[in-house]
Amino acid sequence: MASSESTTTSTTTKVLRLKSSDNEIFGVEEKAALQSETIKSLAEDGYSEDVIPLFNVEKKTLAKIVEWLNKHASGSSKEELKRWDADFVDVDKDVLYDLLLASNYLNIEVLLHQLAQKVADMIKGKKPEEIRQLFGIKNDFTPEEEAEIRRENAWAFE
Amino acid sequence: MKSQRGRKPRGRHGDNQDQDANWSMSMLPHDVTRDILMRLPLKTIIQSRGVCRTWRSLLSDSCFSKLQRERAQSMLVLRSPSSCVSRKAAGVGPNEFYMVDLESAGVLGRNHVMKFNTKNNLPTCHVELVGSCNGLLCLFDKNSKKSFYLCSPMTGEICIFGEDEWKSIGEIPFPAYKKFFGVSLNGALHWIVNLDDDEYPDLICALDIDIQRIRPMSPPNGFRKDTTEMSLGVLRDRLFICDNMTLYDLDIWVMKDYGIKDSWTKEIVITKNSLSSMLQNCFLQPVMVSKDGKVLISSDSNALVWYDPTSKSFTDVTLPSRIGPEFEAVCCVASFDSLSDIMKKNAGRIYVPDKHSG
Repeated sequence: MASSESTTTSTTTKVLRLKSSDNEIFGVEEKAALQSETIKSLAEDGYSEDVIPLFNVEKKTLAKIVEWLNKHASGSSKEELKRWDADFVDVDKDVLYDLLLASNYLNIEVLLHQLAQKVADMIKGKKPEEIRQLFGIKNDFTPEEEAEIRRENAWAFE
Repeated sequence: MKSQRGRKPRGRHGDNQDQDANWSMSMLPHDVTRDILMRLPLKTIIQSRGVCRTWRSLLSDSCFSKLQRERAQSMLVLRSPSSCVSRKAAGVGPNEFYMVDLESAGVLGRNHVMKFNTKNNLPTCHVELVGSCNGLLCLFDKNSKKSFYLCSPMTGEICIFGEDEWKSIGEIPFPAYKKFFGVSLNGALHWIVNLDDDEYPDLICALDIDIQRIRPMSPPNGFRKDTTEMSLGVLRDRLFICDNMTLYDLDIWVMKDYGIKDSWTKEIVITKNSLSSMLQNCFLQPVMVSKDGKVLISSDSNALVWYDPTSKSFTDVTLPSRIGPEFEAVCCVASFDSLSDIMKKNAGRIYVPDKHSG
């Protein structure tokens, strides 16, 4: 611990400024922000001294993302982080959807996997009709195709 | 790549075609959807093929089967005599085949159990569960005594072979137990040799399928050869052997580096007195290892228990009541590759020698 302090003093103080699609600016410590591969490559492209524009993330979503980035750079214990993450993804579908798109766009792999797991947990054990309804998916099969698929997979429906 | 796709306007409030939903998963990028779908329990994956065209194609493309291969989800395949058949007739009467997704289950429920569809030409009478490798299941037709069925449980495909393609590969050491004949690993079949066969003092023998040659394999140093009950199998891609004499502790030896005698390690020891009194006099057989290192043990009294080597504790597995009280269990890795792909990839490795009929 002590040995890393001297090397990180200069970087931990550096703050990157992230701008949401609706022009809100968030200051985030570099160490936290670089967990996003997209921000990392934008910073390397020379945006780091200036404002980093994130065209696809609205401020309410970016605020949540920044919260996650900060928490995951805070050196919390594994157990604490696990509890915190479980709370973090426990949000309604709209927020979950925005977070999924944002973490995909920002390329934050760990967060993306947590969110994907959360959605998978919501899907598991549900029948196709229930899944369609829950996630607003249109049934684009013809009745014949649907009957065929049901026949093929009948053993999984018993 | 990701940023480009992300740049497309979502149009959630404007040009959304799904008027009745302000949240549609259809609008997620495909690799995000795939990342979600690959985390589902096996039964939900199969059922979800019927959600929409996009999901059906995502769930059957090669990208998805590759992800599932990496996930290497193990499931338990059970052959259980149909409940209407009396105990006596159990060996020849109709069977039900079930797949149990133990890994994704906290408590086993109907969401973790699938029954083979008897409509897909799978014979249910006079069949024996031979074993499993490469995500395929092999069944033996006891009626014809020469037909084998290969099925891919996840894709529902099935093929029959053995009708007229047999050729002799010469003499092979006689197996000591029929039940553990043909443990498949690394392109070879392994079995315990009958000790009366003086020519093969090495206890284990491997038949290399590609070159059709017998290789002797030494048992671990200190393994009691004079035991009357032992078993051979595969746990997490490694060969294991154990002494099943009910008088002693159950020692599971694992060959850490395939083919290297010195790599045999006594990895798990289940002491006799840690077992419940019901299991103490049973023939116990390791079946599979969970992702978190627990070992599933089956007993000849038709009980299944998880053994946790860390805490040295046991947890009973309660199977849903619709599975009959008697069963035979093998571990099968879920594979979403098509049968023809698996056969191509392992060409020459699916041949089984004609010893079964003898």
